Amino acid sequence: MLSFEEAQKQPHAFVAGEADIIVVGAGHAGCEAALAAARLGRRVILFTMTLDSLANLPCNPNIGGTAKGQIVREIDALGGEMGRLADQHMIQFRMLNATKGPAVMSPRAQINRTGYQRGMKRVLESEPLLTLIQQEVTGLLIADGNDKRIVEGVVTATGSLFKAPGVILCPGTFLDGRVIIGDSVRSSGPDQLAPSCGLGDVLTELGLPTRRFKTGTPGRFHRRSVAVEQMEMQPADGEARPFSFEHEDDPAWKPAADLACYITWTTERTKKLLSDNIDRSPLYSGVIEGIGPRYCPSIEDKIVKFPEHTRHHVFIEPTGLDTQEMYASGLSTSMPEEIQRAMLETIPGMEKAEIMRPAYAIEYLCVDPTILELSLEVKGIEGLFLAGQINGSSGYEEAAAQGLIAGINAVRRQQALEPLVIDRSEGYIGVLIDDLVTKGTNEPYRLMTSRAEYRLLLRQDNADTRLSPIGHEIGLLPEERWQAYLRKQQAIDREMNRLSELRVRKSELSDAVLTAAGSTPLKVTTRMHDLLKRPELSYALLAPLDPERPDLPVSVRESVEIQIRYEGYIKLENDRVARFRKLESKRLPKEIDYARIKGLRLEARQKLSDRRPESVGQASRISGVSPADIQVLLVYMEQWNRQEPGPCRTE
Amino acid sequence: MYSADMETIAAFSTPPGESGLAVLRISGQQAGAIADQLFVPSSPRFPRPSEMEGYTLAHGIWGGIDEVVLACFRAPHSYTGEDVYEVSCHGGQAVRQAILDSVFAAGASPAGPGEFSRRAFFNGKMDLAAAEAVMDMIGAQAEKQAQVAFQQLMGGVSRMIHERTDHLYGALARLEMLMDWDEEEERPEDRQQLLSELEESENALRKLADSFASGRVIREGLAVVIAGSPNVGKSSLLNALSGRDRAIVSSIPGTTRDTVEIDLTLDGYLIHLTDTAGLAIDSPDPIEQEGIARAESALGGADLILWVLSPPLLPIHERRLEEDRISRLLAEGKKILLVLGKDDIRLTLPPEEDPALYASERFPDLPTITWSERFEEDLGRLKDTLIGFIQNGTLISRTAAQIAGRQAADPAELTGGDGVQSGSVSEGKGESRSIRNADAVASLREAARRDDEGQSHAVLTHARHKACIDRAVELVNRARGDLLSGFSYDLVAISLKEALTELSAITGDDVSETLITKIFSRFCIGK
Ligand SMILES: Nc1nc2c(ncn2[C@@H]2O[C@H](COP(=O)(O)OP(=O)(O)OP(=O)(O)O)[C@@H](O)[C@H]2O)c(=O)[nH]1
Ligand SMILES: [Mg+2]
Repeated sequence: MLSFEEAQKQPHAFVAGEADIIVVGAGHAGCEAALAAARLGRRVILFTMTLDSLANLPCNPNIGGTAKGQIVREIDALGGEMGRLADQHMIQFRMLNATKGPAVMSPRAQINRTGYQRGMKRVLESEPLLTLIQQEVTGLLIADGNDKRIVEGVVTATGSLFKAPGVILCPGTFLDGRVIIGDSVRSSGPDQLAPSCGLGDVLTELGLPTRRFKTGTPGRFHRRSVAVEQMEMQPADGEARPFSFEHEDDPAWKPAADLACYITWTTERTKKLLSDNIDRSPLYSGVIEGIGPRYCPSIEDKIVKFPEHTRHHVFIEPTGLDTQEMYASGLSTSMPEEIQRAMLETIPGMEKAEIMRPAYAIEYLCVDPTILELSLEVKGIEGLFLAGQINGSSGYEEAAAQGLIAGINAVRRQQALEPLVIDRSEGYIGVLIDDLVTKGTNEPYRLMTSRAEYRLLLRQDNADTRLSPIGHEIGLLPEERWQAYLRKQQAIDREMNRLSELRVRKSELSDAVLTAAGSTPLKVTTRMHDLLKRPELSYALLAPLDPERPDLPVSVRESVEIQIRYEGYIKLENDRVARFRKLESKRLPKEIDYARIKGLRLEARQKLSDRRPESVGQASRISGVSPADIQVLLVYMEQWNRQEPGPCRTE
Repeated sequence: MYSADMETIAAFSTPPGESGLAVLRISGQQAGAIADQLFVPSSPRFPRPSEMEGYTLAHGIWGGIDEVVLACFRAPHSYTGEDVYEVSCHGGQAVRQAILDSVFAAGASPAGPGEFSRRAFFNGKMDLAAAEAVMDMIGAQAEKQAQVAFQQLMGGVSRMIHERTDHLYGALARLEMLMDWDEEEERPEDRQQLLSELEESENALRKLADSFASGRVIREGLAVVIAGSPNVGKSSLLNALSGRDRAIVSSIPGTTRDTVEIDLTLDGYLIHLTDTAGLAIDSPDPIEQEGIARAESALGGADLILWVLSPPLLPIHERRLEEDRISRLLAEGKKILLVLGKDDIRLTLPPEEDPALYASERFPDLPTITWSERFEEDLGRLKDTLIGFIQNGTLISRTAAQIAGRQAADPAELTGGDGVQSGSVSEGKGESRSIRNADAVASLREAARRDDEGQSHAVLTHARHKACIDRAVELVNRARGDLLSGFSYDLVAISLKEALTELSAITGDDVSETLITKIFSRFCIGK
């Protein structure tokens, strides 16, 4: 691989541009990365294969969902873009799990796809320090430093050189993409877009371990041909809630539309058809080699793995306001077109469905993410960052979160600042990145709330409390947002105090209100704060006993109520976090020679030498490192600290 | 300081075995509170140690279990630099275990590998030079404990824990599926279903907890009854186990006519051993009949039956009657260990006369052990099997089929000898406190080489497992209560996940990954 200097000396070398940071790929990761870096004051070039298809939603037409909704809120709390845009192009809002507890309540919105894409383009174009260029990047410029390599820029398909000390790769599923429908296998990205073909070899040349993952998407059908009136309707929530804290309590904000989704089911006939033709599925015939996600099986997969289920859900979802295309969630398949058509005839309401885009599977190249630092920089290659599906993740939200962090850290690397690492107790962003980097993944990785140890703390309602101070500190959160944040926190504190001082006396009224709510009448005067803790009561139900209650925005009421009702459990989780932080804050110096530490088991020595974790806490999550190995490490660190005070003291 | 150091730890610092005295060390902030809670001074002349400065001695009763001497070293004047209480008690395994269990129940945690020394190092009781020795110690002890845990887990405990925790994984998988994938509002029938699954999980875990050396067995002893046909060597077995000529042995069938009882201790555990009259079929002799009736009644009260089967094989119809008898006992829930007796003779027989081959056909699933009074190692093996049974309710043994094949020892075989427990020598509590650094390093090195700080890994591992299971039961119970009182799913899940995390300390599971795998294999997820 050439350095910038060497490349420049080649005949006809042309230096077409220069920037502080180059972002390759304008999907959800690339857009967030480029925006963050530009907003932090760096000159940024964002490359895309085509300017007409950036920030695409090539699969499901929605943003948010369990764990994903929380992460969109986190992106917003730090000063990212996804939440704001999703709010503008929301065509249906639902709060999932509204009755299952605040830890798992998750916002999700159907999105007007082309509106979102155009919106993102406008945002990118209006960012002063950001240049948007349609060109395929096919190579990297890398210099050999003393003990590590240093990225210096990129080469495009036309041979132009672009110079930059920071490069963020976000090629998504385009990297060496292969689209598979039945026997047809074509080199392609999603939505018939051209695949990215040079970069895969570059990764191999850099010595990065790569593998192929697979994912798939169902077909799109013309609205007029789908008999939604025969299906169960799933309407939007009565009250839509924005992802962005900026739109919270803004009376002017509302979704672009409140469209419905529809539910139908596959039948025994669907099952028979697919089982009879299973040999025609590339999944079972061996055409597909990539590893697909267990949580997103194709319909033929579901039928093979769960033969006892006689039917499976199908959700018919609108994909936008300016299109008739409907998405059929649940029907992802890589079966040949013939079978796809035959399958529709077996599903009530879909018998006459016109296929506008057939379902397909896509295989793509990605990297084993354990070669990354928690900052998302590639270990040993200064200035090179990876974000999004190239790291083995899946999902728009997961990609956007990584893009945001990579963008921030590419800047901080150039400013010689400590990288921003969100830990597992601060956000799903931390859970996501730590899981990828520390544990690695064998399938496209999707966030789930069950992956979070401190789920009750990582709620959608408090993403700002958790992360906006960080967004402010690193300079990404705009000043007005910070002021609004401070006002909200004050309002929460004030109401919490008021409720803990407010006493409710036993009276006819209180007896009546409590009995009506299925609760027991008071025996003694009780603080409102304590009444709120009864599971059967709520802030709203207790309003008649609280005549002086101020008129507060929903977001404040929600935070107050959750913090009071879950106080005990939240405190327990906070205690666990305090213990967790102790190990996280014990930094492991880069120069440790694990092979020489006595008492470590062989497997632990190898794993630790290989991964070089950043803290004792991170080391403890590497598989193959036992609790006893951690004890040994702690003694070693204590010895190290006593020997040379300074470099690696506990923070 | 390392976070876990907020916890108070305990372990024995003397080697196991029947030694006269054992010393339990408790270190940490709660050491005093635990001692206050469990220790009753026998004489008012002695002040309660927690009220004293420095070093104090007192004696009294520990948790109602044993008369002990209590030594107290106030921080920082102790081995670890923390408050340390040392309980000197009687050395039997049963007493140790009961005391350890009581300490854990009062809030202490089992000490990790090398943890006393590690704390001493962190608290500045040792200088830099000791660091490497401490690391060695942790490594060596961890390996030893892993071996012990492995051995204990081999004997079916692992399978049992996995089976019993499987319910719990299933219940939490359902709960997590409802939260991460269901997207709909809560349905009352889901909560009902979860409640019944949790009830099942809790019962399964309680059974598991009960199968660990229960208080009753430790306090009252284990009732073991030897049974079988006449002349198979039952009385010889009783004599061998008790080390005494308690019962009359002769080559005449029907020698023993009444039940013969004797109490003995194995590694500190009390065993009531009963020899019975040979269960002859159709005996006309009224005395013999009375003997058989007594034998039957002894069998009714047995915790464990050693059923002896020796050559020559009985006539076919008698064999069937014997089989029926065994089946009936099994149906009643009796635990039976099949003892293939007179193994010295058995090995010389042609296959068609080999009781092992016969047993492998008729009792393929019965835990089986070979026995001959003429093979020295057989006695140790049998004793280990009995101790294993007391400790975790499982019989580590082979099946008759494996024996009939006359194979080389299967790896899943008996724990073999007491390698675990031999060779560990105490650091000696007096010295350990006073030694200066150079000595400390040397002594640590030596201890590390020997494998430990003098702990009994077997007892500790066992107690640790029991403590984990007890806590898991408590957490599942709390989750069930929360579910009943209408708490939301996310809160219920916290206790369940914690319960599984407790159990993972035994099974080594990655809870989060196991759970996710469970979710995907049980529920058809995804759109
Ligand atoms: N070869 C051999 N002979 C044994 C062994 N154990 C016992 N015997 C002999 O078998 C005969 C019967 O032994 P006992 O112990 O009296 O048998 P038992 O089952 O108590 O007999 P009853 O009380 O009559 O039912 C005696 O001659 C023993 O010496 C052994 O392991 N090997
Ligand atoms: Mg006898």
